[in-house]
Formats: sequence, structure tokens, C-alpha cells
Amino acid sequence: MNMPQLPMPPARPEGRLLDVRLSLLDRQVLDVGDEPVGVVDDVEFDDAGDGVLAPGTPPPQLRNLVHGPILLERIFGGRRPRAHFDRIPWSAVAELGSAVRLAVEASAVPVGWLEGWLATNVIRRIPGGRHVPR
Amino acid sequence: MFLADLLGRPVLQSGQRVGFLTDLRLLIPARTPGQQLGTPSVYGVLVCPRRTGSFLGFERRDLDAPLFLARWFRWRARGSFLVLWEDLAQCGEQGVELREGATRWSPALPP
Amino acid sequence: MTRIFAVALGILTAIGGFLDIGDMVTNAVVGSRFGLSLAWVVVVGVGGICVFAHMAGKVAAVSGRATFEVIRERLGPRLAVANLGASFAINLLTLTAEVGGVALALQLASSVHYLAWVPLAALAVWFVIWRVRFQLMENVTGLVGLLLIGFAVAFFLLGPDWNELGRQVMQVLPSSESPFTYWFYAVALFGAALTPYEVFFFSSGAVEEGWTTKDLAESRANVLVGFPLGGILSIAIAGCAAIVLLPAGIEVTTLSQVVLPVQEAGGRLLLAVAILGIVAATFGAALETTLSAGYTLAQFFGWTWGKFRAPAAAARFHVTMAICLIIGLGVLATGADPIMVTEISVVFSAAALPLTYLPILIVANDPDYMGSHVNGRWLNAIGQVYLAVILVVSVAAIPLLVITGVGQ
Repeated sequence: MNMPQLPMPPARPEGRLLDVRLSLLDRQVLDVGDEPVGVVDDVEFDDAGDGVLAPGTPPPQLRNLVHGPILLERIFGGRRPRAHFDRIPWSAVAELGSAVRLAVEASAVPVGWLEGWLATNVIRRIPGGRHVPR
Repeated sequence: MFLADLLGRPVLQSGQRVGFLTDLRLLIPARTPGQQLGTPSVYGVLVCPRRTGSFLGFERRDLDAPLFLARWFRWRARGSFLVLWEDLAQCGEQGVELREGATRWSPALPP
Repeated sequence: MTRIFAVALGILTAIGGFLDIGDMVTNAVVGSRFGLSLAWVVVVGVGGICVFAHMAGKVAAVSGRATFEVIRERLGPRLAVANLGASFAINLLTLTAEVGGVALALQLASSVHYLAWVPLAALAVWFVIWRVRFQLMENVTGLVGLLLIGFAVAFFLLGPDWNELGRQVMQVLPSSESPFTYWFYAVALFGAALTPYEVFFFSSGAVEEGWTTKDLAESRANVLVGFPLGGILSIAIAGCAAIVLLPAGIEVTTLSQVVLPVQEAGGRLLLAVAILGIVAATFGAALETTLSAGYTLAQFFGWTWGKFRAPAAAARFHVTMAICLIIGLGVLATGADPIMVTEISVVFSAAALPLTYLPILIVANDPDYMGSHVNGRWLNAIGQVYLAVILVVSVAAIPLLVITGVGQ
């Protein structure tokens, strides 16, 4: 076995351990009907103030999955104000597998405007746009 | 606090850089009233001596397939460790720092 | 007859992958310059794509995740974007070439000038993507594309000298050409067999068909029938060129030279069959590459995608593909040579192969995606060997392109 020789941490409270970058980041988000909603671009935790932690500070909780144009920052570094990003609250999440499945419909979740705009102004104007190929 | 601000940041201890933050480990409780999945809290921080060492996370999983690739990626991630939340002195946009006597645990995910 | 339709996805993927316009011409060029001494590369390449398409199909069927989603999830932002950039650019170049190829094939069949066919071809591709059911699309183009079997028929009708051909097959590195040129074409043929858009299309097609864990046998059948068939037809095209064009020293530069051996073997009837096959195959390749452009972008950004949805439910997906076709049309209207375009793009795509095939191999072993359907030991062994070969090819591709001046 190639596992490192460091000891395993002591017993923890009931629950499941998950590594965010390994299992949550960049994953597809699906709504309750398995329709794609978007990709987990970032994850938002409780505000930790200036970040300095006095002993005994409780760990921050995960509030929202974030969906927005974070790609350039993740490649090149740098920071962008997150005010305009779309947030999916954790309370909407139902299941974590190879994708993140929500408990709600796509319409209940704030997602970008482009799809709707294109659907209305471009696609529906062309004959057959609403037709499901059968 | 956003994950993207923390990933890849240098992790310091007593002024020395001991590695880079490669991941956050969450504890998802069994139940939180009002929602299907419990609200996760940060359990600990995963540190790797090399910035791109932890690619695909083979050092954390008991997965030996495909054989040569698993060994290669595990070797690249050697020296990785887990630090529990209580052992962090600072964790935020300003930087990530471990307490003086922080214990280093195995990064392996329990099955 | 209906059982052929069950493997239509595999056949269409293979046709679009290594019997598109660029590969048909490359195979004829190779046959006219090297005889059958590069046939082994096609065999190795077919083996490689069978292994990885099988894995990609398995991942899509079991987890519902198509290949580019897997690439985004496993490679991290930098490498995934690099792959997206390379794959999208290659898809765009190739679909341009395929639309041009359809026009060239139609010019061969009629005497109407190629540029007149180009807008019609682009419109037809768009219309099929917009409106025609996925299964119907794959069944028709796959089946008619199989008329390329006319080349195999021609091969036997030409009465080949088996001793000479056998000698060529065994002979590695013919002395009449430089070794760099030989290896350049070896890389080009290998790259053509393993072009990433084949797995993007195959895995997305698996999702389009709604394959689940119950359909793993069907997925395997598609792979094991489609790609070897494509390989056989590739070798047949090269073989025809080897018999007719090599001894006469005819250089292949146009599509009409590619079909010359067929006309010689079977007259105008066989020629008509072959040309019909070429039209269907290039049309299928145009569909495959255009859809792949849509699939890769949509899967990377997490958009809704798929021909099984109404276009209004996958607006960004359809708009992307329409824009790609318009760009392709624009490029062709400037008079660019579509065939030269694909030959170069295949070699560039060979340089980026590891970025596609490594994530597939990794995820096919991940129980979080595959449950109990993770790879067995033998599949992993072959997969890792091929990955090593792919790494070597990706490193050698561009230097060889430069050294040989695109195979001069």
C-alpha cells in the first residue's frame, strides 16, 4: 500500500467526509428532473471576517454553490467581485454523486439569462424551433 | 469566503511555507432540518508540498487502478497531509496559516 | 437488417473519424507513396480507438456523463480550457473541411462547380442537426456511408499481386522515402484513428440514445463492429491506390484521383457506388464534427444539450453549431482548400491527444462514476500501453509536421 505513514485523525461526529475540489468543484448541477442547470464554478462559505482564528472558533459552513464566470481567475489568479454571480443555496441540494442533483426545478434556481434570451429571440423565430426531433 | 480564493494558496507555519492548499475537507452531518442534505462545515484543510502535486487525488483514495498511473500520481502527491480546522491559525483571503503545534494527519479519506 | 441499425452509432463514429474527406485523401496519398507499408498503423490505431471508445461509452452509459464533462471535472481549469481550445478549433477546421468535402464529392458526381454546392451542403447539415431524429440520422448516413465498401470490391477486382502487397505490409520504412516522412504519415494515420471528436461524439451519442447499464453489450458491439469496419475501408482505399497509383507514380492531390482505381476496376457503376459512399461519409463526418463542436462547448459550460431536446430547450447548443457552420461557410467561400486544412488539423489534434484520453482512463476506473463497472485489469493494461504510445505520438507530431513540411 502506498498510503503515507501519517496517522488517521481521531473519531469525528456522525457524517460523511467530502473533499470539495475533488468531488464538488466543476461538477455538473442537475435539477430534480435531471436537466442540466450549470456547473459548480465555486463554493461559498460563511464569512470568516479577516480570517484570523482564535482558538475554539467553530468551522465555517457551506452556504451556496456559486455559478459564474470564474474561469479566468482560476487559471490566472486574481480576484473578481462576486456580487453578480448566481448562487444556489445548499438547502436546494438533494444528492451528491458524479453530478450534483438538486431537489428543485431549474426554473427555481437563478441561472444565466443567455439561454432564455437566445431561446426566445433566435430559436423560436426559426420554424421547428420548438419541435422535439422524433 | 470562497473556495477559489483559497485553492493553491501557500500555507505557512511559524513563518515558513510548508506547502500549498490543495483542497478543503467537509463534514456533511447526517441531518439538518429543512433540507435533504445536512449543511457541510469545514472539517480540515489538505496541504501538499508541491503546488500541482495533488492531481486527481490518488493519495487520498484507496484506489490502485490504473496501476502505473495511480502509483505515479501518488508519488507526485507524496508528503501531503490533512490539518484539522482547530489547528488553523488563519484561513481566509489574507492567507492560510497553521498553529505552532498543528498535528499533521493522513490525507486518506475513510471508506 | 435491423441489427445493422443497432451498431449504426459505431459505424457513423468510425466513418466520421477515419473516413472523412481528409482521411480518404490521406489514405490514398499513403497508398500511392508507401504502398501498404503503413497498414500496421491503421491496425494499431483501430485497436486504440476501440479501447478508448469502449471506455467512453461505458462511462456515458453507467454515469450519464459524456466525455467532455469528464474532462472538465478531472483536468482542472487550465488543462480543461487548453483541451477545449484545441478541440473546438480542430472541430471547426474539420467541419469546414467536411462541408467542403461534401461539395467536392457532389462536384465529382455532377459537373456543377464545387462552390455552388457549398452553401447547399452547409444548409443540409444544419437542417439535419436542427430537425432530424438522432437515430434516423445515424442509420441513414451510416448505412449509405458503408457503400465505401466499393473500394474493397475494387481492390479485389483489380487482381492485386499478393506477393508484392505482402512484401509492402512487412516492410517497415521503404527506402524510397525519407524516414521522417514515413513517421509523419504514421502519426497522421494514428492521429486520424484516434481523433478526440470520435469519443466526444460516441459518448454524447450514447447519452442521446439513452444507454444505461443494461446497454453495455450494445455499446461494446458498436465499438467492435464500427471501428474495425472503418479500418478495413481505410486500408482498402490505400490498397487501391497502392495497386493503381503507386506503380504509375501518380501523385494524389484531388478527390478524382482517389476514385481512379475504382473506375478502373469496376467501371462507372462501381464508381457511382463509391461516390455515393463518399458523399454519405463526408456528410456523416460533417454532422459528427458539427455536433461535436456543440457537445464540447455545451458540456464544458454545463449547458443543456442534445438532439433529443427541442432546439428551444437547448438554445446555446444550437446557436453554437449554427455559428460554426456559418464560419465554415465563410472560410470555404474564400476559396481555401478544405483537404489541406484537415491534414494539418489532424496532426495538431494528435499533439493534444493525452488531454482527452487520460481523463477517460482515469474515470473508467473511478467507482464514484462507475460503481461496479470499473475497468478490469486487462483493459487497464492495454489502456496504459496505448496512453504511453499516445504520449509519444503527441510529442512527435508537431516536430514531424515542421521537419517534413507537411509530408513533402
